[in-house]
Amino acid sequence: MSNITKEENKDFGSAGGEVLLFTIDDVVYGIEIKYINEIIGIEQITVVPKVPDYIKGIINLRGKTVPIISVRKRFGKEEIPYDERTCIIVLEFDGSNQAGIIVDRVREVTQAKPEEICVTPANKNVNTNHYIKNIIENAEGIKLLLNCEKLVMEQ
Amino acid sequence: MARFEAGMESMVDMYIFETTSLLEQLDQILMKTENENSFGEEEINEIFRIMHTIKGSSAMMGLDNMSHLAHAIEDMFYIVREDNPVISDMRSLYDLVFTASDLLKAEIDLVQDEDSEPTDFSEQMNKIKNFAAMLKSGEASAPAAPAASDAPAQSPAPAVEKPAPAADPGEMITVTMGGDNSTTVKVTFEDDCKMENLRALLVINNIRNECSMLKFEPEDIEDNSDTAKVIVENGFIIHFTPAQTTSEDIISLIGSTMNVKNCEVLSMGGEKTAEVPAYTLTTAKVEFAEDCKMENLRALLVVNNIREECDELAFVPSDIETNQSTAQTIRDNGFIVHFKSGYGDDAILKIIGETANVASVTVLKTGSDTPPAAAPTQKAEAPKTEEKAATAPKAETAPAPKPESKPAEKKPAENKASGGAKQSLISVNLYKLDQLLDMVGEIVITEAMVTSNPDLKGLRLDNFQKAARQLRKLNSELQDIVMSIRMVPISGAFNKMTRIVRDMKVKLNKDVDLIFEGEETEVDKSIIDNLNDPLMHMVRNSMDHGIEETAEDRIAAGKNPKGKITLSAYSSSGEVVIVVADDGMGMNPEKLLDKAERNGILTKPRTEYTEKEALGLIMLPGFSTNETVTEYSGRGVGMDVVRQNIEKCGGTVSVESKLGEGTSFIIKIPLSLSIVDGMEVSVGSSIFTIPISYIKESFKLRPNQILRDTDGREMVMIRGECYPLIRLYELYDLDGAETDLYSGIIILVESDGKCACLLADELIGEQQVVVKPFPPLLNNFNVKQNGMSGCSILGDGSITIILDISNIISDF
Repeated sequence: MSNITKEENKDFGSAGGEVLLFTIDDVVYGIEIKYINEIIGIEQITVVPKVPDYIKGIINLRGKTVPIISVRKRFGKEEIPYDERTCIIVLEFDGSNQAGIIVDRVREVTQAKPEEICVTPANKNVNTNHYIKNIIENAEGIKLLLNCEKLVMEQ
Repeated sequence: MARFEAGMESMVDMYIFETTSLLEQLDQILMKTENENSFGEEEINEIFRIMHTIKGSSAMMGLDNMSHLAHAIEDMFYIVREDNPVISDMRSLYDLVFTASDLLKAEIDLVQDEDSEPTDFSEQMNKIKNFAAMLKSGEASAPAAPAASDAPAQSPAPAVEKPAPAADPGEMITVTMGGDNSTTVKVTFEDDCKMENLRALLVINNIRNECSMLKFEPEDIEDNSDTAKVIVENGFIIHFTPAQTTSEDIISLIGSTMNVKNCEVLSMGGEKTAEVPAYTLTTAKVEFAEDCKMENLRALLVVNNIREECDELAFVPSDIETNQSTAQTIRDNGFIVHFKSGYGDDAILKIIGETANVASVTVLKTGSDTPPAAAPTQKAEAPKTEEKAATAPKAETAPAPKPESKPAEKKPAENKASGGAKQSLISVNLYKLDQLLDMVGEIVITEAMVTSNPDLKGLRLDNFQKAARQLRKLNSELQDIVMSIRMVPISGAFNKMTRIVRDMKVKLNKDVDLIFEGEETEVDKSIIDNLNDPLMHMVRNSMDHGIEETAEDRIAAGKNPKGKITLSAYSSSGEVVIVVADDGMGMNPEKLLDKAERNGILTKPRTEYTEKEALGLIMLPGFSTNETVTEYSGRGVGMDVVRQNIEKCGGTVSVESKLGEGTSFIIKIPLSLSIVDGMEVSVGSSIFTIPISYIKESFKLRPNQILRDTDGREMVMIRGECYPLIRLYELYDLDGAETDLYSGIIILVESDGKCACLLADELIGEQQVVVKPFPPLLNNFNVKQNGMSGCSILGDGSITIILDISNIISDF
């Protein structure tokens, strides 16, 4: 698994690319733009019983059912009431597999230059779940680039 | 390495479809003739045609091994047809063809696998060739094929001598130019048709059998895809000398090949037409209606019309297809046709006369040796004409698998008809049908969205309601039609079993009748695809374990010495029931429990197992009652596969068995996978859909109906029967639901003969819902094992979860 992560790092790390920034509790996270399908407001979420609590349920996105993941729950944080800035970012993998993530607020799309991208520490006891793929540091501050596949797929 | 170049995929699909259905057809013909123990002329021709088509299309796809094997069989049947040898060793013949058919089927499976290598069929081909040689040399009375392999291979069988024509470029290059006699043409292909080298190969394959000499430039079209460019730039040059037909025939054959745009004659060989001994031919002059224009093409139409009926055919001017100026010639001098036909002159003249725009036909000269009356000779000449029909014109269409040409659907009898019958069947890509079904599903949802729109609440809209009712009626009709399009009779899946039973009968030396009942029952195509494997395993099981080892055993048990396996299908209340029953030994539940105990797969004390549960043990993976592993069964995988495949399409399998009387496997599958009639119930803020077919009744509970067992589990008493109570909110840990038994609603559901009561808040209403699968992410969390079969979108855009009642009940 670590090999694959390195491969991906090299890809994004060497070329850089556009990143969508969003915040949870004032921490800025980023997601590579290639995963992002669209951003929608909070919709009525249908609860699906007997699944882990970070999966909030499914929504109807123009006739398709899309599972919704709470990033707060995923990161072990307390959930806060949804407000008008709460968003669902709809991600798409492998061309058809969709999932939505609930975030506090979406900020902007920024260009990450290769020299601003650093790798995550290889130490054992930080970033153990590998949700963070890279760290982007520039004049505006530090952003944590998330590994979408792991965030969504890993059980 | 991918087996096919980019752009060929769509052709691959069509090829696989066609070849598979042809092979199935072949199996059926063989099985039929084997039962009757004789080949009719019709059947031989049919087999011939099948192999010819497979040969052609395989060669086009570049699958030389399959093409060669098909060719070997074709050759063998050529001998069978032409020489009509007395075949004493029918068994070997059938075995050879059956094995070849199996090999071809297996290879087709491989073709779909990108990385596979072509299988070498040379061994089987040698066997067939040897057998063919034996037939040819009249030693058909010699024993079996293996022995025949020692027979002199140089016997004068043309089939063996003739190198398989399917593409061996090396062989062709060595052919010397036929000198003056050869014709040279330049073929150009349609713009942008791509892969010109393969198209050219197709042309070559089409005309190969008609030519005694064939040479072409560029030569390495098959192996070198760069030649495509060369062909685009310079055209594709073919030199040939016709074998029996005329150069014109071959040129028109080239012209009729797929994607050929133009076929330009560069040099005409020493007119083969002139060599035709004219005195044996009938000569007719055809004149066309005035002002009909393009006389050359009209003439071509005439020629095409009569070609199949004629043994020999020549015409002046000869280059009507390629040379437009011949139109003028025809207008001035008429179009002269020389022909000889087994059907008699009158028949041909009639055909000519009936062709569009033909004004008059004048017989200039009657062929000396062609009897004027058609009837007497028709019979004698028929095989010959048919052969031509099989070789020449078929070659035009065969290698181009078009959806329109669907030989599999035609019955042999129809082939004999004059060809005027209209095709009323088309083949459609399953993907498109899936799309159509999805679309209908969307319409059903949208209809509900419109008619139960919240904006309309409280309004009195008589006209609107009327129109809405009409819309609903039409929609449900549309839905029925779409579903019926996807329905195919189950006989296809059943017929495959004949073959398995036939093989096993021989191998196991058991005499068994296979009986079909209700094979016309229709089920969804996607279900049929999932049925093949389970049926095969169950039939094998019945053959191997079910039926007694010997006829003596059966007689001793007081049964008919001939065993019986019955495949039956019928539909009942939204389900298709398929039963595989044998009248064999039956299973002993005690024996099954013994075995299960030894294997340690019992999950509760042995005494607690009911007979039905004990029989159900055979569905577990790794469970086999056979002590020894045989070719067919004993590894304990089969019945597990059955269960998995059936569950995949939402069905169930159960076993019934009576010791000494036989065993039945009963499969129940929902008739349709995608649209269900559902009852919506609310639990807290969630809405669940219960398929109506499971619901027996719903009611409010009265205080004296509830009782509790010693563990406090609740049961409901209804009319003297006691059922477990399942509180849905408890089952699914939902908040905000009605917890008071007497305020909520009780729904009595039944599945597989087991009943239970579900507690929900209230009934919302009945609605048709379109089942959508859960997103893949949720499937990681075993939602299916928790009693949820899918979800659906309701008219107001909200989502409902469809409950899998049989799963819920089985846990209680």
